[in-house]
Amino acid sequence: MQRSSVSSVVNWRGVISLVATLVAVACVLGLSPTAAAQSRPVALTGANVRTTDGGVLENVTILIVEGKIARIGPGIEVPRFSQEIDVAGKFVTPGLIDGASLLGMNPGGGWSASATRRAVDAFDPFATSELREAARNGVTAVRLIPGQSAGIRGMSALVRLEGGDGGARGSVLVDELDLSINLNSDSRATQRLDVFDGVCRAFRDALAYRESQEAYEVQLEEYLEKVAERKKKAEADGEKKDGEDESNGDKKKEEINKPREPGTNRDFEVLLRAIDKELPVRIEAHRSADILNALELADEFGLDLTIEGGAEAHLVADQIASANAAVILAPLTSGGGETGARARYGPEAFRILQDAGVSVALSAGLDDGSGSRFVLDNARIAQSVDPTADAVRLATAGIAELLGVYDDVGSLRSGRYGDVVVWSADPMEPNATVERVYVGGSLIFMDPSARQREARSGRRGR
Amino acid sequence: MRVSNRIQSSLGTGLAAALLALCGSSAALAERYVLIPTQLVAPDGSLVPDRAVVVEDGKIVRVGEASAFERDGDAIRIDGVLSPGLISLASSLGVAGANATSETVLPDLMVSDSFDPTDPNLALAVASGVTGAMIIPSPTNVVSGSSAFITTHAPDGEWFIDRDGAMVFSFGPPVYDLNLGPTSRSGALVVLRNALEAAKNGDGDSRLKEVLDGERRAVSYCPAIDDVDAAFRVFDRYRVETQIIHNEEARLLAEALESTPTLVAMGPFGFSTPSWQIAGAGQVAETGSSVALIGGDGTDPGRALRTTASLAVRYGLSADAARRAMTGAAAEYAGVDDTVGSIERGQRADLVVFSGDPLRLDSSVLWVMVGGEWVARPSSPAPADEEFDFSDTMSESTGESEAR
Repeated sequence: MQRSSVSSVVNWRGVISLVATLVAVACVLGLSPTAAAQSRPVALTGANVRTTDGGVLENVTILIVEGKIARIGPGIEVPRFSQEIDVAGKFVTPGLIDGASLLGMNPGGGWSASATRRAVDAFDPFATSELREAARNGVTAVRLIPGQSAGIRGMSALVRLEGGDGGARGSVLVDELDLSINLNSDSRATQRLDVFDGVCRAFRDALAYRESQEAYEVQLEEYLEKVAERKKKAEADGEKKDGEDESNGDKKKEEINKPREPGTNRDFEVLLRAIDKELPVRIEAHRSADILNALELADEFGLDLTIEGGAEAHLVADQIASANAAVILAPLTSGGGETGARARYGPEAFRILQDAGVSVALSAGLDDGSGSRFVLDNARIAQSVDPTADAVRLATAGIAELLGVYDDVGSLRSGRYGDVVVWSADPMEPNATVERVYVGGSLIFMDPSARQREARSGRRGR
Repeated sequence: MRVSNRIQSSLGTGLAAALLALCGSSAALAERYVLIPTQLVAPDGSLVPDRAVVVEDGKIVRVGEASAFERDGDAIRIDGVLSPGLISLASSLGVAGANATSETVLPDLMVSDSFDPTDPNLALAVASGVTGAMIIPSPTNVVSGSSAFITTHAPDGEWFIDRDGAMVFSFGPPVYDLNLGPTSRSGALVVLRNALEAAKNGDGDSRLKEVLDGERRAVSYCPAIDDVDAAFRVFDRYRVETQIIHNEEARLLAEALESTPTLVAMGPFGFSTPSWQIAGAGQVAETGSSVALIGGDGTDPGRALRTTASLAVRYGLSADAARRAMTGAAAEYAGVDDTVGSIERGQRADLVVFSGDPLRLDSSVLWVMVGGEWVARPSSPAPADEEFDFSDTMSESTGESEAR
């Protein structure tokens, strides 16, 4: 809207004062000047866009207005005052998304976790070097998990990397994306049983809490009815037998007790949202026994379940498929060893789950936030075991769909956020480098050598 | 766009059949193959199209223009990239318990004595594209012993390409031992210098003397950058050029190497490795030192090595150097480059067919040849059985059908 008003105004002085006012307003609101600059449309012209079936659309223009993709396609007219970037011959993909990450977080295990704990509260938007490394590899969004502690550990968030003076920063797209639970597959059997038992009990307690809340509602209603009735009766009696002895009335008062209000429990409220399927539940479980436990839990409480990590998920692929649960796999390089929860894990797990009909997505930063740099590499490994998979799709639309954020990110469709990566070559080529990364239409990373080349050819956008 | 991992020509089906037959039985079949891949990894690490590789009796006997072999009856067109077999450096593949604890100066220890050919990881290594490994004694002693170079598949029992290779010296914390000594860096250097001095004067170990005389290569295992410094300090005194295994502070290593370029092995790199550490591979390569990469052991060492190389490329190593770092440069590091590591005349026929560039992590291993014998076709899609009617396909692929 703002853009169309700018283009229709012919009076330059008016434009300048409008911009100045906007900047002033932005400053007053505490926004950085770059945030105000976002309002200028960005047009990437001449791009090669990979389609998910491996083809390439050439000479595409992507127009980003007010942080979102306004139009995309060949032969789109670039509005005046746009920042036009010639990316002829370069490849453009949606920003890459990691399915589970500790990026920019100081995970710190061992804290007592609770359902209300929010990953976004532990996110350090100034962990600039880690965020910048992610950005320079084309990552624009991650699903942050709330730490690594066992049991019910809190709510995940979807964070987009946003431009800031010190490089990439975080901006939260969804702060309560899902409920995260960890069945602690790395620990000994007895401890795992304790954790699972604790989780089950929490859900049962949540249901009991709901019952007591509902019972209170009923009791309260009854109480209020009784009180009203007595009042009515008292009034009627008062009219009839004014001044009669009050012993009879005292008895009646004893019979009506105000029900005690149960306190609210915010943890249970979160679990109830999960039980009502308002909040998906993502359970980190690696051993097949833990995965089966998770499926049982989801069945008992009617949860919308995704298995996270899932190092042995391929061993119980059929059960997962028939329970209609999804899987977000641990980094595909994290398997191996002779013992431990991931001894039987390898990239083949991806193909086996896929073949069983399970919807599978990937994570690169589940164990270590810095791993989120390598979202696309992780997806490439998946493609190596299943040539029908497409690494770029897995790292963008695939994970966005599974996380339920596909309407916002993960594709280059109009209306989606302008989170776009410009690559020097086909991103599947080993020597392709990220040249530019836009989040919400603002440049959050630019390859220094690309900057130099551009300066030489005098084609700088700004 | 995606490289199909199917062999396209009917002759290719013949290859697949031959493989299947070879995997199933030990009967010796065609000893001569003419492989015409889409591309091959040249000795300089680049990808080159239109080449043919002739394998005979377990060796590469010729590499030439593909056009010259088009009518050759043994010609097999392969839709994939032909690479020298990958080489696992600083490996413990098949090594069972090679850390002696009786002494800390053990020049007589030979890791080849600890080699166990029944290790199931050997077969996994072949399937992942690793055809050779430089195995080293565990670097827990100041002089850890001599390395060896093995092939990962030896039906004839000839596992060793080099039974008694470079002497491995170890620096840094792994050698500190409260009971055995030394307990500090300076202490370790005293022990090492004494041993080398004795050898120099002729009253020490003869195998250490070989190192001092330049008859045996020295490999220094240096976890930290000051260990690299210590190794250079010790060996400079005897004018011995030592090879380095180092992984951490490669930027500083690059500075140290400006004056003394040498052979360096680095890695493994994974998703958790800091970017600056990965960037070290490219920085070291720029100094003119030859960089070989270590992928680590495990159940899929080929993929681990390719991941290491692929990440190194992301952070500055050239693609050609990275392909060499897994093959030719690794063979050079292990001192066996006259035998393995490149697709050149006279080399052992240790070859891997990848579905695409081995640096692409979405490429998979299609076939592996070790010593001229097809060993594994681990991840290629299995076509229907009837396609593998052995008699039909063999006559097609051997050229005998043309004669008939």
